[in-house]
Amino acid sequence: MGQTENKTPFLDGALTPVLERLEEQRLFIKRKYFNPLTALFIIGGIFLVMFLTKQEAKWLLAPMILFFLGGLVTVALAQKPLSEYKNAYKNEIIKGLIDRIHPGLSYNPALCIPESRFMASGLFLRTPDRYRGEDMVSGMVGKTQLNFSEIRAQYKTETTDSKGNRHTQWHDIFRGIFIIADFNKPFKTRTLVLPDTAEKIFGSLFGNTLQKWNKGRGDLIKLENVDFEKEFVVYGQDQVESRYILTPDLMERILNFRHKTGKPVHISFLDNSMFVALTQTKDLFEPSMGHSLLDTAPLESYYEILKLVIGIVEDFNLNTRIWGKE
Amino acid sequence: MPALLLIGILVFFFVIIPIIIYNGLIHKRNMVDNAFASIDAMLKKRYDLIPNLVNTVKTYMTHEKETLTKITELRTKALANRDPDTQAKVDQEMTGLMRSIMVAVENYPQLKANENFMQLQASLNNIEEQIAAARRAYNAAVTTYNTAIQIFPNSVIAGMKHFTPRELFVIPAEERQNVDVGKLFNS
Repeated sequence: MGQTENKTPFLDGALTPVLERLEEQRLFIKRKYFNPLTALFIIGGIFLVMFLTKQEAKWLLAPMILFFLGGLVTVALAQKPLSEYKNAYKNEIIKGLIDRIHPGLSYNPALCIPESRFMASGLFLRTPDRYRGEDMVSGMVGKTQLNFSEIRAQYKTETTDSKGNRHTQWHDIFRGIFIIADFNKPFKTRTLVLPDTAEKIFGSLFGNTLQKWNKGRGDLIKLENVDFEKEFVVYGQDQVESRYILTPDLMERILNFRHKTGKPVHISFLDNSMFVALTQTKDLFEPSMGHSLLDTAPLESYYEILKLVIGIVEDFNLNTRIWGKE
Repeated sequence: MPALLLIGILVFFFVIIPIIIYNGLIHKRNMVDNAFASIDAMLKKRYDLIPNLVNTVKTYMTHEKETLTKITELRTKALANRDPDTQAKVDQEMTGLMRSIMVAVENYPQLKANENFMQLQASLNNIEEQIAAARRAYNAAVTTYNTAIQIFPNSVIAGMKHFTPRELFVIPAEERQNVDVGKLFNS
């Protein structure tokens, strides 16, 4: 038996023709705009070094202006092909991945979950100073309406240094995928399931006291699943209803999901819906100019993330509708 | 001055702290009573649905007459005697019987397709979930209360004021494990 060097192509090569076509487009953009731009930078750098060593203005002014203008024109010219390339990547490849996982979901790269819904979830208390998002996916998965998109919500702080200069710094409130799914049971109050930082840092006794002080979020709900209690802290407005939502079965499912993602998970139950905030550390579903599209590693990770998110309906058993909610 | 300070300290330790502890215990005991009341309310809801259910299924279900009669009897018993002990016992028995009825429904396709029955079934499922949640809420409140009256120095106040530990609501074993449908069919 001979050893097979090549691993099976991603998704059995279903996307290969599109990937090859887009790879040509990428190489074209790189050749026509990125390479000249790099060359300009290098030559500009040489002139700068000459100026610094010889201290003569002729090495700086005229050439620098020329290079600056040249750079500007190249960047301006590159905008259109770049955005065409990005659109094609999203509409053909990312959409292709979504269709593979669950046909019939709609995808709009420019839209996102609105800020009002994000804030209504009650998961994050601070109002963002900057709210952006993209890559909205929505549709029905079985009986469950599912919407999700990438979101980045940030707040800013301003500091003034000793010279009186102001510095603005941006901090993430949330960055990742924000999901809204229709829940399978009817309910009236709000329940929050948050990562348990207090208990992890301060231990259960002192951590519990800290959790109780957090009154704005509702009453602390102590649940009987020890592993769940270690990972999450639950706040609710009604002790019984929170437990009606968080059955022993759903707690197990949430725990499994948390282990599968390996990242912090925030969940809230409100308005008969389930809101899930899945933290990510980088921008998703974006093509990279620097790497070949035929290397499918980033695409495979996007595919896994999409599978995880769309799989929420299955993972949380949301299509089981035996409790009087259609 | 030191005498005043001493009195202050004594008042703090022998009056103020006991009052705080006592109030805390009362609060926790009320939470237990409140949690029990919510189980009671949910059980009542279930009993309200039973006559409706029995009427709907009895025309179809020929082999389960006995179970249906038993359910009706239990309901009458539970409504007549509302003390916690009876409620807990009846609830346990009732949960088992309801479960076997719902499994037996599989043998009656006509009944399964009956819209009235489907609605009833959804309501019952929902109430069962709510009862389970109320039981868990009650047990959580009882555990908090029992711990509170057993730890020192609360135990001293609890002893003096006759705070007694409460029993946990027994969660039926079959509720903790998956239902063995095959077994239910064969019995």
